[in-house]
Amino acid sequence: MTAVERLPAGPAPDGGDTFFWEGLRNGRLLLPRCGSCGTWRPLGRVLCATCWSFDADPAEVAPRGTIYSWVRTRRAFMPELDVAVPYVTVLVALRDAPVRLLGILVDADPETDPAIGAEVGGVIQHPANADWPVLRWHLAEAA
Amino acid sequence: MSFRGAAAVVGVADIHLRRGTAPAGERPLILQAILTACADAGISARDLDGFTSYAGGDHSGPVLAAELGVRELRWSSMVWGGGGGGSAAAIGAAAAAVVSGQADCVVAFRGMAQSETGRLGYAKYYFDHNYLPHGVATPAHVTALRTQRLLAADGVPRSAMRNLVLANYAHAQQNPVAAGYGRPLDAETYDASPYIVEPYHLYDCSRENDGAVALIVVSAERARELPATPAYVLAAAQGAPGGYAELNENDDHYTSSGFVSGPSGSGVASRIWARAGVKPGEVDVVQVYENFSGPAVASLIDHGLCPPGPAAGAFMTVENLTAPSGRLPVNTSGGNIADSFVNGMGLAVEAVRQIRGTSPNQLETVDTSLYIGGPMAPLVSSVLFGSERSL
Repeated sequence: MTAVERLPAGPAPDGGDTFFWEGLRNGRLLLPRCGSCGTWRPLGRVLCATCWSFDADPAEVAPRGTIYSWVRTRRAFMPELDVAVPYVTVLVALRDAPVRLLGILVDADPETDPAIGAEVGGVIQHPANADWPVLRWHLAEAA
Repeated sequence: MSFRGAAAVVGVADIHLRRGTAPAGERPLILQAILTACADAGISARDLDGFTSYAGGDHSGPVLAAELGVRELRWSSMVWGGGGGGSAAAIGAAAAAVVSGQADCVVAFRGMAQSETGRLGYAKYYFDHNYLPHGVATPAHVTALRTQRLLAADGVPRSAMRNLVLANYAHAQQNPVAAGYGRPLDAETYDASPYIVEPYHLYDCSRENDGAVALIVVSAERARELPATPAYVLAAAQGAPGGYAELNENDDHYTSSGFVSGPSGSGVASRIWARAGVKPGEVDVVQVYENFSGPAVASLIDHGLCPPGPAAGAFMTVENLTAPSGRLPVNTSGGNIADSFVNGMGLAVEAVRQIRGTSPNQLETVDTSLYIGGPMAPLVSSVLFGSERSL
C-alpha cells in the first residue's frame, strides 16, 4: 500500500463533463453553454438555471482571465499531487465568459502573493500520474 | 400557533475526547450523549420520539430508537447539505417537529469518531475532480479562497481573524474541559505560528475531536414542568441565497458566509431577526462556528453583528469579543478553536448554557443567545435562543 495514488483528473462518472476533459486533451478549453438560451453553465450542472433546458453545447473559450482569489498551500495534504508545496492555487474569472475556474499557478515564485485582478493565461499540463491533462495558469507577464 | 418561543431546549450533553480515542466508534458515544442529555432534562430516554441530525452519518432515528427502546418513533430527519452548516438547522427541525405537533420530545445530535469519519486525512469524501487536481482538497482550501478575497478585496483587516482567536483562547482559560485550558495564547504566538493554508495560521483552524453532543427539544408548555431553565427557540432558519451554493466556486456573495440576503430579499440572518423580533444590536451573546477564523468573521458580518469591510477592524477587538464586559462576547467556552470540535454542536450547547447561567464565562444577564452554524457551506443555519423574559 505504498504506491502513490493517481491524481483524480478526468470526467465525472456520469460522463456529463467528458467534453471538457476531451477538450483539454485536444488543447482547447470547452465549457458548457445552454443550447437553448446561451447562458454559460458552471461545470457539473446538468440543467440551465435560466431557461430549464437540459441542452448544453460545449463552447470554446480563450483561457484568459484575471485572478478572482487565491490560496497558498504549505502542508502536503495530497501525496499524489505532482506539484510540491508551497504552491498557489488561483480562482480565475475568465475574460470571455462569466465563469470561474480553479487551477495551480505555475511558472511563478510561490512565495510571492499574486494580486487579485492580475491577468493570467492558461496552460495545459499532463501530470505523469494522471490519466487526463489539467488546466493550470501563469501570470500574463510571464507568458 | 406562533413558532417563536413555542419549543425549548431542556437537556444538553457535550462529550468530547481527544481525536482518535473513542473506544468503540460513534454509536456508543451518541447514545451516551443522548442518555446524559435526557438525565439533564429529567426525562426518560424511553419518552424520546424524534431524532434529528446533520452532515450525514449512519446513526438514523430508527437505529437509535431501537437501541434506546423508545415507546414510539414519530420523527427522523437529516439536514441535507452543508456539513456543519446544517447544525443549527437540526435544532430548528427538532423544534419544527414539536411545534407542529408531529413529535413531543426530539433530540438533535451529532457524533464523530475519527475511526469512522477519516477526517484527519484530506477530504476525499467531499472534494471531486473539479477540485483535487488543483491541490484543493480540504475545507481549509475552499474557505481560504473566500477568506483571501474577504481580506484583499473587501478590506476586512487580518486582525479581525486574530482577535476572534485570541478571545476564544481567553475564554478557554476559564473552561477546564477546553483543549486550550491552561494554554493562553498571545498575539505574538499567533503571528509566529506556521501557515497551514494561507491566509490561515495554525491557530485559525478548528480542532478535531471524537465526541457526541445532544440537545433535547420539547414544547414550551412541557419545558416549564422540567427542572432545567428552558432555552426557548425564538427563531431558527436554514438555507442559502439563490445563486450561492454548489456552483463550483461560481457563487454570488462569494465572500459572505451564506447567511446574507439574496434575490428574494431575505436570507438566514434576516429571517432570524425578523422571526424573533430582535435586532442584531440587541443580542446578548453569540456562539459563532469557526471551522476557520475568517469564515466566522464573515458570519458576524452577514448577521449585521459586525460592520463590513475595513470598519470590521475597529469592532473586532479582543476587548469587544471577550466576556463578561465586551460589547459582543463570542464563543464563551472557547469555541471550535480553543474548546473542542464535534462538528460545531458544542457551540449550541454553550449558547444554551448562557441562557441557563452555567457558562464558564457567564454573562450577568442573558435574554438572547445566538448560535450561528457552519459558515461558507452550501447550506447554512442559525438558531436564536431566549430566556423566559424574552418571550
